[in-house]
Amino acid sequence: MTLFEQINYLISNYGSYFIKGLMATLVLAIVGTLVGLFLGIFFALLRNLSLDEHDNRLQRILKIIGKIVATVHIEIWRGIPMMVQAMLVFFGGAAIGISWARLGFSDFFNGYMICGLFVITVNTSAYMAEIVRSGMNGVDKGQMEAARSLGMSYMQTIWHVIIPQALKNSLPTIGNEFIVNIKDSSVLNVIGLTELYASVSAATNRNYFQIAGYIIVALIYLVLTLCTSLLIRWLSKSKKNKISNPFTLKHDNLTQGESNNAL
Amino acid sequence: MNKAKLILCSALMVGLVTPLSSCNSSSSLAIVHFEQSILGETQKDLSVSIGVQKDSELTDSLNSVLADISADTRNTLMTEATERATALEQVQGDSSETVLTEAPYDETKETLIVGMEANYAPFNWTETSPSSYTYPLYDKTGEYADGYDVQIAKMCAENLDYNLVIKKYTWEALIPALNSGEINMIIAGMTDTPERRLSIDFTNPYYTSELVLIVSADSDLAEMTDLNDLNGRKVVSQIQTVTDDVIEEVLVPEYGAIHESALKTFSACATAVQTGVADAMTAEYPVAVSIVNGTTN
Repeated sequence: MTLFEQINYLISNYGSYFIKGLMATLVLAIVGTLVGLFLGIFFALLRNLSLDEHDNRLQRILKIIGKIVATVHIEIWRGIPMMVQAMLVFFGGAAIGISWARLGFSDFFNGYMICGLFVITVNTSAYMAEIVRSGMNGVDKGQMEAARSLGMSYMQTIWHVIIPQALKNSLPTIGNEFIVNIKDSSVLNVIGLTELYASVSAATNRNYFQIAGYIIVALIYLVLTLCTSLLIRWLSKSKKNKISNPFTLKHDNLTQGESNNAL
Repeated sequence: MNKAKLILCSALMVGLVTPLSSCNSSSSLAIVHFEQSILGETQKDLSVSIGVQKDSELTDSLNSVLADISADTRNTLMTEATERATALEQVQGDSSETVLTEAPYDETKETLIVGMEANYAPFNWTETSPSSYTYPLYDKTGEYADGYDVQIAKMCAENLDYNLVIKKYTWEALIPALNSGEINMIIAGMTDTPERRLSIDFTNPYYTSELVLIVSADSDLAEMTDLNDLNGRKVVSQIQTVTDDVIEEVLVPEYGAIHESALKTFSACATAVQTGVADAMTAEYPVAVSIVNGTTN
């Protein structure tokens, strides 16, 4: 058989494996990136907490604990390869009594998938925390001071002024993280999760058309990542036009609110 | 700008795929037999056993089941499994036999959870559709395990009156899975070694095979008569296997072979020999037969 015939043979006989693998990879990447982003914002806020002279003792202690928790979380999950994390979480978890297999609730979301989602989400959250944090630090200090002097509280300023700009600035990096997740979800095959990469070994396990199999998944991965790049580029363009300067928006709202109060 | 990039990308892809497809990637393979006496010195026979947890109560009952399976039955099972593994279309088998699309579960019985790679034909491999030989894989819709190990697992469950569950794990994850209690036993063509016995126990062997070399049929190694011909040649096998240990412990020190770093699966090793990345690979005889026959398709 020539390579083209082999590719043809694999697609016609094992096409369902590749589609199932593709679905698993997509779900892992999308859920991992989105939930990871939300968790990441949370950890970024925790790590960016600064002590204020008006804080009482309890607030100080809580802030310090939060900062330590965030720092430890980020450093641990960023510093260990995801493959090692997956092995530790899945089998280590089973050894101390967390049965991932029992947490599965459907054919698709089986125990391996739940564990895989957990690992990729928490792993991404550590990277996202640092991405969001650097985005927040990139927002000019004057914006915080201006917002506070206009009477916005610290949390209001963070949510309405700092975070939107931080996210907008780091949109390309977040998109990059999504592309990384599409590719890195392949290491989760060590815990028995059949994603796109693992579908090759399932499809070629008795015909040995390995090169043909890997060409097929390489093309699928390439299409996925190219589409993502285009989507991100389009998104960051349209975002640029929509939110020109969130601070002026909030400023208008505030002055309007105040005048309403005055009436 | 974007169009130019797209054209460049497609040109690159075409440039990459065309040379690959023009060369016929499936160069055929051949088996070279070792002399039995050479293997004797390694004190490692290639018999495969069922792995169980340390001090498991299963060991004795499994041994009695295995004792009842005669050598003839074993050989027949292996021959049939090899034939099914090397057929291009899936062998459906006797239509009168039941075809399991879902693993049967009886609440009154205890459950035996077996782990295997499902990627080591003819011992165990994965099929896309069920037949009278296959058993559904746990949590993998549309994937069915077949092979010698699956038939042995079925016999064990039947004779001991247990429910049978077969889970698919990568080779390196099998022992961690057994020790963490995710599975009760490993039936995966695994050889009983002192190193593995440090963490798990084994039953008596359920199949004994011979170690052979697989080489490219066009290579001069196909005609080799003496293991000294391996001097300076690259030999490969799957990671954490006895066939890989043999390279390190015998072929390298005694015959001057070069130990290529071990690969994840035997399929990858076969590809390595086919593409010339390695000159030879070590394998158990039934595996070698299914690789050599499978790659000539």
